[in-house]
Amino acid sequence: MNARANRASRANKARTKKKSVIVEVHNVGVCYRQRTGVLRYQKFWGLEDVSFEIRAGETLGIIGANGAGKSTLLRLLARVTEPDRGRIVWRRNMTSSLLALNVGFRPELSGRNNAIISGLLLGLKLKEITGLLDKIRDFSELGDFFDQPAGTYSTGMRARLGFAVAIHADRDLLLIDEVLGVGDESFRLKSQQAMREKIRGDKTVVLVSHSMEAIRELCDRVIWIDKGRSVGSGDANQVIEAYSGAVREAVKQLILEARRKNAAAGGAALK
Amino acid sequence: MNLVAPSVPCRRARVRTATPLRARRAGSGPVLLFNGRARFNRSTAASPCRRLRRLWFNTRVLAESGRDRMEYRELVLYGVYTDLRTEVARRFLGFAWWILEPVMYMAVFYAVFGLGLRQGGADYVPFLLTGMVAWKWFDGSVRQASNSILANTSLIQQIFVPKYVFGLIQILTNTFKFLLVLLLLLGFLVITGRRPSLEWFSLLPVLLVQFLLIVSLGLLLGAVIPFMHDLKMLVDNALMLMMFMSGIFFDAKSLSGAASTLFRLNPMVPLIEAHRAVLLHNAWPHWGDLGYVVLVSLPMLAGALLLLRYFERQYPKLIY
Repeated sequence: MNARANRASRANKARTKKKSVIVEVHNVGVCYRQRTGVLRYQKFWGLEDVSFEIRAGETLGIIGANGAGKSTLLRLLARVTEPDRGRIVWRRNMTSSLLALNVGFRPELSGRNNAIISGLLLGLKLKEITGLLDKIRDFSELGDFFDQPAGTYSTGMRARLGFAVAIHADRDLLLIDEVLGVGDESFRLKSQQAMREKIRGDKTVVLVSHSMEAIRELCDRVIWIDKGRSVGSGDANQVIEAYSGAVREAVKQLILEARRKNAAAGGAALK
Repeated sequence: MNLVAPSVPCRRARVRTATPLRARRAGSGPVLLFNGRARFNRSTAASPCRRLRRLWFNTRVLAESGRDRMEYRELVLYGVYTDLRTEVARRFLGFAWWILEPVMYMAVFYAVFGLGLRQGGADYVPFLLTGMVAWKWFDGSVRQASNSILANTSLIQQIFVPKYVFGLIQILTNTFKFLLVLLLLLGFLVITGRRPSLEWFSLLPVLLVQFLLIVSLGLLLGAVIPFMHDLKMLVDNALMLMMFMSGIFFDAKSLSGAASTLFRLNPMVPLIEAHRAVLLHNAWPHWGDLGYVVLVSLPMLAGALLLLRYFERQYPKLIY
């Protein structure tokens, strides 16, 4: 009950704060080329028709089944690819980046060097990133390991380093793909805390997750994508309920189908 | 909550009026963040026609890409630095391999051509070495640059980085190692009795021309290969053929007639001759021949940059 009241107040605040639109996505589709044989290709629309908008300062959740096109959509928002149809309208001078852990990672080099590489890749200047190094070291809790070769890190330590760099590189739009479960319990709490601070601050966040818990807790609005199309959008709770309902319905259908098949097979066997 | 039909015309009308016609005509993609008066940039459907227009008619694209290049300079330089550091850290003997490896490589060819096939005369060793050092720079750089986009697949799919950056990092890393070997070669030549003269300074323009050729061919191949991985096989063998047809093991001047003309189309032939003229004969390089190399390189470079820019955001979808 309390949580619901909280959300309601947050929604109210959102409505009164008047948020400006920073990204508009209009009927966007992305086409991949699939090889089907020698010199033969087939088009495959990974994303067919998606429309929504992102407002400054909000946290937008994206939900949908596997293969619905969520990651493709994130790539579009990170400007790694361009839409093959439809269009995206950006606010001027906007920066966005995927929270990508450990891209360009060199196990032979120290955590410090790796932090610099990641920072440069995320579009920071060398000066900016060297100024942030101490903060990154503290946040990632690596201590003396920070100057050891990153290859000697545990998986959790690597993820922590990556997360620390990404959260310190100040992008206008932060795109997160299922990485909330980074590191051990204490670091997970800390990273969620940092995320929430980003969310409360001026940062705009797009979050893709299969965890309805996380979405419910962190997002103001949710977009539901099904088979490359945006099917619903709106208040987090309502969309999640509709989505869960649809999933339950689909599973029920599957079970019925299976039963029918079983029955038919059984009948055939009896004859 | 609104369960919407797939197409939501979200505030399209307002945006239309808010965007000046000029900005809309430019059809600017996400890279063009400079429309002074426009409130929005748009990345529209990437129809070829529109993208071509974007390339040719918006002169500010070029200015912007120039600034772009400055922005990514740090990334390129730091990439080269980490590449070199990684190599040192990975190997037991560290950077000794930057010298050992080319020495071993050249020893093999000396064994085959100098001792085995009994090529050349007394001066064969410096003759061979000069050619091999220049060739190895070209070969290593082009090979790695042509593979650079494919080698960074996972990075390219997650972060936007201009694709020329990867090729340039490979080329510069190789260039650094080449300069070390070149110093070694110069030392060797001086020890074996060659005397440096004023002409040795003309090695600098020769190196610059060769660098231009390397960048042009390397980036061009790097831009094309993601579309046709098959080409990689071709490139490997074409480079090997080119090695034997560049006059490294014999003097290109010993050929005559039609064979010679055909032979000299290979831009590495005049370059290696220039290296030898300067270092072995204390003569000026043949400037006309170097001009030919520049003429061959520039269209390739322009093609490479246009391709890379045109397909900048297509590569992440092509490779996996």
